[in-house]
Amino acid sequence: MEKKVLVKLENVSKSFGSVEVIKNISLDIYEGEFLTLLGPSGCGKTTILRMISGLDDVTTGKVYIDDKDMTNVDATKREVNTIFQNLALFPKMTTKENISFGLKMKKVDKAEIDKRVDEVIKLVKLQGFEDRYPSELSGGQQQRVAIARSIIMNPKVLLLDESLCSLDLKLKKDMQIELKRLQKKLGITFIYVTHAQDEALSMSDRIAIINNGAIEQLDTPSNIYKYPKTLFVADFIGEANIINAKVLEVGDNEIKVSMLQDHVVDIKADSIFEKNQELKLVIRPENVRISKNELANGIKGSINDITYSGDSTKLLVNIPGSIDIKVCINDDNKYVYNDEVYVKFDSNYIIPLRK
Amino acid sequence: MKKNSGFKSFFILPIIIYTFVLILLPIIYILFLSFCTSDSYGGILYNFTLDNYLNIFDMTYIKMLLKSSLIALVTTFICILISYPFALILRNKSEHIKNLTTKLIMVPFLTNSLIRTYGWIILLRKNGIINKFLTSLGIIAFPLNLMYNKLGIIIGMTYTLLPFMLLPVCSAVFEIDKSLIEAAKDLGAKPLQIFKNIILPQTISGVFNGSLMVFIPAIGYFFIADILGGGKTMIIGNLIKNQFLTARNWPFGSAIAIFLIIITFALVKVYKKLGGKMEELGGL
Amino acid sequence: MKHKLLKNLFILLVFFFLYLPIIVLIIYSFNSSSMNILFENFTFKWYIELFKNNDLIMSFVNTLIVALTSTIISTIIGTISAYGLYKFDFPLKKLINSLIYIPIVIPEIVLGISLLSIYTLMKLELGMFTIILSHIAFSIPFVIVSVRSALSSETVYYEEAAKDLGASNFKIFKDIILPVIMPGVVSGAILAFTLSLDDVVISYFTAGPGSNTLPLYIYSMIKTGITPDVNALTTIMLTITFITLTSIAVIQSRKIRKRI
Repeated sequence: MEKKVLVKLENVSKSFGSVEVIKNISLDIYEGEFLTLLGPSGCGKTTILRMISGLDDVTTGKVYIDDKDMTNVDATKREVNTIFQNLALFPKMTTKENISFGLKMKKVDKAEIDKRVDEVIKLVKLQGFEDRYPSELSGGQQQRVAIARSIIMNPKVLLLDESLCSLDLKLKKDMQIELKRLQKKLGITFIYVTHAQDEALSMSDRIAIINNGAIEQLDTPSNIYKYPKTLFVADFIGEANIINAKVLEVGDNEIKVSMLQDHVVDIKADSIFEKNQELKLVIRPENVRISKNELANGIKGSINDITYSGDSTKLLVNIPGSIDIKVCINDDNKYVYNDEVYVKFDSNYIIPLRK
Repeated sequence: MKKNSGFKSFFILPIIIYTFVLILLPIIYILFLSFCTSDSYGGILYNFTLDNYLNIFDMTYIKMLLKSSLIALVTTFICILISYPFALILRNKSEHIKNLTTKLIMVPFLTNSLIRTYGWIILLRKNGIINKFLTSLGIIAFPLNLMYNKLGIIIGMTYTLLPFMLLPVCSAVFEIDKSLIEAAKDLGAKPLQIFKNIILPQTISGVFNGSLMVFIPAIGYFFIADILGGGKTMIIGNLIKNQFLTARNWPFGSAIAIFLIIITFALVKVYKKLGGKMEELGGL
Repeated sequence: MKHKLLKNLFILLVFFFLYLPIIVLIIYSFNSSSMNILFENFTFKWYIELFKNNDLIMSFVNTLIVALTSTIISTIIGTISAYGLYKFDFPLKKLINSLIYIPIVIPEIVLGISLLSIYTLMKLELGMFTIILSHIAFSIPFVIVSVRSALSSETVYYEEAAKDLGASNFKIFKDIILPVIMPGVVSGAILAFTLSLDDVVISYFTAGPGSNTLPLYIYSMIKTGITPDVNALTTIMLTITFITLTSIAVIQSRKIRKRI
């Protein structure tokens, strides 16, 4: 079944003065999906969000929502609502007044407003807090008010601007589950902006990695993690060993490369490389095999650092005359500092990238 | 965007009209007047002259300017001497007391300053309360001349303008981070060194703020000089008042006013150099 | 211990100094002598005399009219302007932003004579209208500064959120901004009212026949001697304002406590 495109950005650019912060972006967002714009701060992800909501104009390009050209339509008239980074709950209004504000602006009649406010309050589990002011609510409750205030408008798209980043870790995890639950239940398209990769990976249907005002890669979380298309993505998402290498031979779907002082490996390669080309290899730490016993075609090194983090242990293996290799294993206390070890890369998990 | 123009003009038109009609126009007009001359009936002759400005540098006026500035300076200095210890003592009190204190400083303003100045007559005159009190205690044999002289003016000015020093100095002193002083103490600084190295640099713009708000009115409040100085000592305010209402020489009065504006702007410049913010002036 | 006592004594002395002339005025309002020199006997007669003194009552009524009218108008204009200067960009904004501080810094007498000059230039007859206009002129900047301090950077977020929920500009101002800046508006209004009541200099230059206000009435009498009915009036005014202020403070602290 063909998925319906709900939000469409077409060659959108945005400049503040002479600085171009968004560089010719095109992006299709499907109905009912949870899309995350992920990138470091200042990469332009919030600007993209604000151009969808209409709080910022586009400099060039078009914004379509539900097949209608919204490029020049005011924020007040777009069927899109935002949950702001700092929530922006109106301080002099109670929970109920905050939530009903948008419907009042639409001049919905009072009985209908009361009914819908009650529904939404139940949905976000805020019963009993209707008459409190924002300052009298906890961080999580404020978050719920902000969500309720937006979803009561039945928006086609809900935009979330780093909405969870002010919460502490435990609350953040709870709200992530809560948000995902709401999204599935309501079937609203969520566009979520964050700089935290764990949030992006755990909640999204698709992730767009934004860097320097452009989309680096747009794909599902697992594809982004497993098959980063650029060095930036490889480095930004998860931990990665990035190793310099050189192409020795080019075959069909396969290349022979040398790395780490003349270790030769065969790896799969979709894109085209040339002989003698310099390239980078990306290997996730959990895909590095490590052993105290000698491994065939393994590389000898010594343990340089051990970091225990509960469910896994991170090791840093020093390869003499080369870089340190990050290794992630599940069982601990097997290795101690200065242990001699062998590491080996499984050629299926090596991702070759152009320099 | 065009839809909003009515909304926008509602919010910016009043301030534009106000600024031009009630601030800029009056000042430009007296600037214009200051280059005119007046006839003997107080009428204004529109012939360009610099005489009004040159007249200010007449010896009699120079003496008066200096005397008036001296009175204002002494007033400012006394206000600083009172405000610093006041603020430093209050610094260690609770928020509640601090708030209450700033409110209590403002309350006397709710009676007209002229009425309060009149209260000082009852206190200061020869047969007034203070002299009666001191003679009955046998501290003095004859009543002191506490008013109808410069002392009276300084007492009156200090009294009327003290709140304008107290408020900005208090807010500057209250803002000093407590841990800074504790750190200095921890490093062995003595009270005087703490004052010189930490408190003074951080409060200097607040003090200058207060000084501006004391010094400038203190050269203009003619009614205090009239009432408590007995008309013997003229301050700049009296001079301007007389030019406008008695001598009816508006051009000369305007020239002195422009002169005061220039002095004020120069002082404001210094205040800004010291890191002072315009919106904090007066500490109100 | 002794040190602390001395410190507290200093604070009390400063307040004693600030309140001394007011206390004296209050005490002498109960003095049977009409001279304000020696305290003879306790009496309430000046509180009755007061209402027979038409000039005094008139000047007091005028003072109140000036203070109330100028406070209302300058608070409205000041509030609107503070928001306008904060929200919109327009060609003269920078100039206006620095010019509005002029009435705050320049000597009152300069403002007084320059306003007098343009009233004469415009052939405006001096009277209640010119006093009120002058009081508005010097109050507006104080209101703007006070309201502006309540317009924090957070107001931008509230505005955007309201806009996102479909509120019109006018609704945003009325329902979102105004409640947020209300404390600034109220303290601006109190400031304007206080400045108007306290003013001598500007009223002195911009008043005309038939617009005697209290300070002008007192000024004209001060050389010949002021009768204690003025003291009585001052005492009544102080009592009323004190009661009003305390009740405002009590209501506010109750509100705060209720929130907690």
